[in-house]
Amino acid sequence: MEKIKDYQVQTDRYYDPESGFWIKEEGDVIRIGYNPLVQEGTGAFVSLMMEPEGTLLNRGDAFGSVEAEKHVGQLKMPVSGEIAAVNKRVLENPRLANLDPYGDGWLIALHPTGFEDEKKNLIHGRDSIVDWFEAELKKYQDKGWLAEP
Amino acid sequence: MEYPLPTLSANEEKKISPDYVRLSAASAMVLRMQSGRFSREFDFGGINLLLNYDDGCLSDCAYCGLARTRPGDYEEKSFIRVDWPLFETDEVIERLVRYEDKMTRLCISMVTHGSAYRDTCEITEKICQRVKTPLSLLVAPPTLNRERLQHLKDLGADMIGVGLDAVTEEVFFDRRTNVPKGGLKWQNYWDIINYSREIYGPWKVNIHCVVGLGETDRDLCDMFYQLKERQILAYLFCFNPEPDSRMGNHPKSSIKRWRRIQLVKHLVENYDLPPSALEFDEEGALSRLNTPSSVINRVLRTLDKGMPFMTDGCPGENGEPGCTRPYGSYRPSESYRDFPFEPEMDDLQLIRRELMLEELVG
Repeated sequence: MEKIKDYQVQTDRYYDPESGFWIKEEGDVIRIGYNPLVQEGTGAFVSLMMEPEGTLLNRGDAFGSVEAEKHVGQLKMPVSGEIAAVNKRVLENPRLANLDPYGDGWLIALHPTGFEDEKKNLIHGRDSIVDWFEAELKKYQDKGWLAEP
Repeated sequence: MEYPLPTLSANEEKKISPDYVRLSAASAMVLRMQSGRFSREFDFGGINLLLNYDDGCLSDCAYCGLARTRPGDYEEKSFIRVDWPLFETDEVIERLVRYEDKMTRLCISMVTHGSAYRDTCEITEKICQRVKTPLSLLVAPPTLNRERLQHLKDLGADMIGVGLDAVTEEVFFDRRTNVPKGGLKWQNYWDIINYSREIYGPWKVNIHCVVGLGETDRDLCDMFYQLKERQILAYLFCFNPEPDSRMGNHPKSSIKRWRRIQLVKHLVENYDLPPSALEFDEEGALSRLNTPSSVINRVLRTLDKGMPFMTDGCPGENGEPGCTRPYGSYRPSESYRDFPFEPEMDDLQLIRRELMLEELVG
């Protein structure tokens, strides 16, 4: 865990620079969720919809959609795979993805189909993650998406 | 993981107006008091403040999220379906100063409450001392009279909005007067509209007209002509059911009806569309739009660059759209009911399909 400004950032996993999702290997599955900056900059989630278990998707395909108070967008696969589990708790209470993005607010688990090859698209390693996160943080601040003290 | 709920002790300071106000979620984002973003980026500078009281609004309108008998604590209630976060008034004013270059229009929404007039005066005065951005007041008629409206103008407000919402006396009675608690009076609303028109002048008073409370298209069009005659602005709002309100299960107007009402209002206000150009069926629904001039024909062809479908709201200092309330009466996942920016080509194509003009003009 690394503290970057006000954010606790997990550095033991991969990050997709396109979607901002974290990707964590857990045995033969990969778990996916929001990073703390993206969830905050999107706003309070009011609705999440996700494809059912068993759906096979490629990297970049939409696996669902998210609606926040003033924003709507697609959830794009950071890696290819078959959806092994959907977090039903977060479907019932989307705010979990705001409150605990690394924990109870995870989104889906996958059986990956090309992870070894797709790793090259992802951010990995403490220093790379810190550099990338700091740059993203500046972008979000410049856009005005974050509350200021 | 446990998520502890905030606890309130009996001695805790009450977070009520005038020391505290609520901000619309969009306003809080633009003032960077709350994180978040809009689906489509655009310049937004219409800041909406809402008075806050422990006992809430004392009215009980059938469609309103703040209604007295709507279940739930007032603190937890939504208004036009979104949360309105609470902030210290002084902190909000500091942010208005900091971001004044982005601001186009400010508005304080009163609620029906015994302290609302006094607190609106105090907040109006404080804001106008620090910020030049024009300030509107969306007033609660039961709390006002002629002298009070004049005093609010003297303090710096330049426009008055009245949330009449229901465009006929009958609908007003059903939705706002004949209610479990705290019924409002049609005549009281019109007294305040009339006083406001006298005091604030032409095109400085606006009436909120909600589409979908049980009125007909003819009722709405009659209201547009009546208000235009009196140089009062009509601002359209699309009924958006608030969960658990008494109209929580009442359907929203169809997009076709809503778009047609937007278009006709634009033609009445800007192109002198005569009443004779409008035909209605037996139930008062718009059935035909005759095109008495080439100008009207041109507007129908071009949809006037989407202007009729933009959000109605008070203007900025130079007449530009000032209060555009993004996602005010629809969810981000729905089609824009009113556009907080100039619609683009794809938007115009969608609007044209939604209008189904060929049914009206042939």
